[in-house]
Amino acid sequence: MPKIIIDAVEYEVEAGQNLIQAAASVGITIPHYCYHPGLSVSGNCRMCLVEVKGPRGVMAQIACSTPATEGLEVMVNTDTVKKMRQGVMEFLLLNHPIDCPICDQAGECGLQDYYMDYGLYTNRSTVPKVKKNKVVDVGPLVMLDQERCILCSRCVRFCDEVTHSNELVIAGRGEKCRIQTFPGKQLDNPYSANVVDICPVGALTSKDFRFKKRVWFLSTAKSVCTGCSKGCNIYLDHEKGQVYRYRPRHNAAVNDYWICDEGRLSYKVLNENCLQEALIHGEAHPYSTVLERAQAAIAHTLEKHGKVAIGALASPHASLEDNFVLQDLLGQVLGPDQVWGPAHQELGSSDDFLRQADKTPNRAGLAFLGISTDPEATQKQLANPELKLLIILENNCEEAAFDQLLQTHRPTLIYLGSKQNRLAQKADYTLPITNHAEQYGSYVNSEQRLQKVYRALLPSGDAQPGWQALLSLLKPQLKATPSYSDVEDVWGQLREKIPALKGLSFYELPEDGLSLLPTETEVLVAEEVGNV
Amino acid sequence: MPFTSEQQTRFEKAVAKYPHKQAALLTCLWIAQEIDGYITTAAMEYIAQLLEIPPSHVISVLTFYSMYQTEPIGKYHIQVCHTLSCALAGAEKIISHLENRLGIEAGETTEDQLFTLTRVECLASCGTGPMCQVNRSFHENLTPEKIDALLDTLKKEGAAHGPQS
Ligand code: SF4
Ligand code: SF4
Ligand code: FES
Ligand code: FES
Repeated sequence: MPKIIIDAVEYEVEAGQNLIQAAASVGITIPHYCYHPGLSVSGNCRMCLVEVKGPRGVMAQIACSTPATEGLEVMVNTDTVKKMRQGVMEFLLLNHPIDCPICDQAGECGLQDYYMDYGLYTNRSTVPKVKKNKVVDVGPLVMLDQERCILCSRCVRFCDEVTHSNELVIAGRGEKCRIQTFPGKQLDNPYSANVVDICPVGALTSKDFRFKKRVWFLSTAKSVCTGCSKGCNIYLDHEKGQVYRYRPRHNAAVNDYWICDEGRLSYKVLNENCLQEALIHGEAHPYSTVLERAQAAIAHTLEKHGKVAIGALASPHASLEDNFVLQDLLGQVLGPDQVWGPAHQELGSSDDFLRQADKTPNRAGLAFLGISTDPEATQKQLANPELKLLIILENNCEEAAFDQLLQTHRPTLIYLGSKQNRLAQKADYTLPITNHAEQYGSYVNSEQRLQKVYRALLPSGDAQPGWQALLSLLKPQLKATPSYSDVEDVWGQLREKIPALKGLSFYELPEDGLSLLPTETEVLVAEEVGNV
Repeated sequence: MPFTSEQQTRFEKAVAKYPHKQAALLTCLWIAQEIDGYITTAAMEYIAQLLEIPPSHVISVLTFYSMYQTEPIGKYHIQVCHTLSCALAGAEKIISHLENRLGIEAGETTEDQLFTLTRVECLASCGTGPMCQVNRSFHENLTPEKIDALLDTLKKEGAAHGPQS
């Protein structure tokens, strides 16, 4: 590992990094605009200029294209460096409209941030600013303000290097330079809105988010996108119970710095049709009444028809914790064969980058718990006329399977869901549960990675976490009631049953998740054992 | 297809001269402009396909150069440099004088289609600013008087040869 000297202090840093990365790894920020860790180095903004000691004395050099090699000595805070930054800022702002009061980037803008540190505060230019197009409808999700652009080319490199769709270019020369698309073409690819996140200024804004909320009012929770089985890591930005946007959260093992457009907009379901009250045949009733009547229905069925007349559907939309508790408690009451996986696939568009065809976030979690994910097996169970009562966990119920079920024979339905959907309306008893923004929980993605979400919002209405609702529902049937009071208690049970989670608690689960795949050594050991 | 088969052969022959197809971009743009008078969107798409590059990269390159046009322009294209050296030497005065004399603003074409006036970046004649380029020739150390004389000559010449085909 090379040793480098920054402002007379020696640091040991990872090999193969540039100076911005190396400095960041020891907690020193070098201001920059055009450099982005997910893109190639372009070196055009000059904001990262620092002083480097070399054979010909101290020279100004851009940090983003200077490799942090053994013995490198740099100064990142001298008066000269500050002056250079000031000069760069003056040029960048020369034609900038400074329309922060109407700019969505205000509050998270690279120009504002560095202006506070290196601004000159008085304009020395008497020449009128160059005017450009302020409202360019550049793509279905993205608006472009050419005047605010600092021509860092991050968005161009994103389209060239990440999506390989080449929509954006810098056109023109000198003061006429601007970002544009080919005539008649749009910035239209499944990942287009990532350019909004990486644009360091307010030039590219999200059509969905713009003019909705000042960013400083937003609170942020670390979460995971539930739009498909990839489980891209996100920040969930919210205020007063309303979710405003998802932004990608870096995870080298999953989504790098990006998320897809479909997933980005999937936050909307969190604001729509949240189930707040308990229902009987679609009519709201006090929670306790519904709970009691559902409990009575279970007791009655057990008594009259026995254990085999009751089944439960686990959910690829619900968290690992909810599914685990469903499996565990119902296993105790009915026996393990009465908990089934989803009755249908939920497929959509996919590609070889992030988007997965399986549009559920936790199907792998079910498999991990040993719950069958074969829809046909479940369909067979559901078609059995002996089935008298069915407990269903979180199900978006778009499919014909349930309609069929309801036509041929009609078991009593107890539904635990977070959405006001068809199933909530049609079930005999419906109990509201929290969605992934309203609870702590974890999900297993298509690459067998266990990832956690933090609670961002308070539960809407009477909603409780699924595991908690299940516990209340099944309490009368349990010999010993497990004392679950929070997700950590559920994990107490989980880690006893699942060897991979041994010694781990929910809160200790790493922010970037945990691979449940056997490590190379484990594979080797297993092979060895097999060979003996 | 924006070009006839003979025209296409012209492009293909030009491309064959370069070790990499992409290197023929400027030449191809030039040929397209010679054929149509300016570079049409269809021509850009044709060139992109021929050179196996994204069409967006074609427009990025061609808009960098002031010699390429993407719309029909007047018979005489007056391009005035407004970059630093020329600006310090009085380019703005020259531009306003031209605007007054021609009755148009920079970026526009006169009604008789004779003149198009454009502001451009450095034309590499910084020592002799203010300067302009009219079609393919430079006019240097400009003064309002020199401009008047230049415009008179061009008007006479333009009338003699009739409008641009
Ligand atoms: S639009 Fe934003 S990301 Fe793109 S070049 Fe301009 S400032 Fe950079
Ligand atoms: S790829 Fe899947 S998990 Fe990632 S953002 Fe898109 S929908 Fe969400
Ligand atoms: S970050 Fe180094 S030049 Fe832009
Ligand atoms: S500055 Fe005008 S020609 Fe260079």
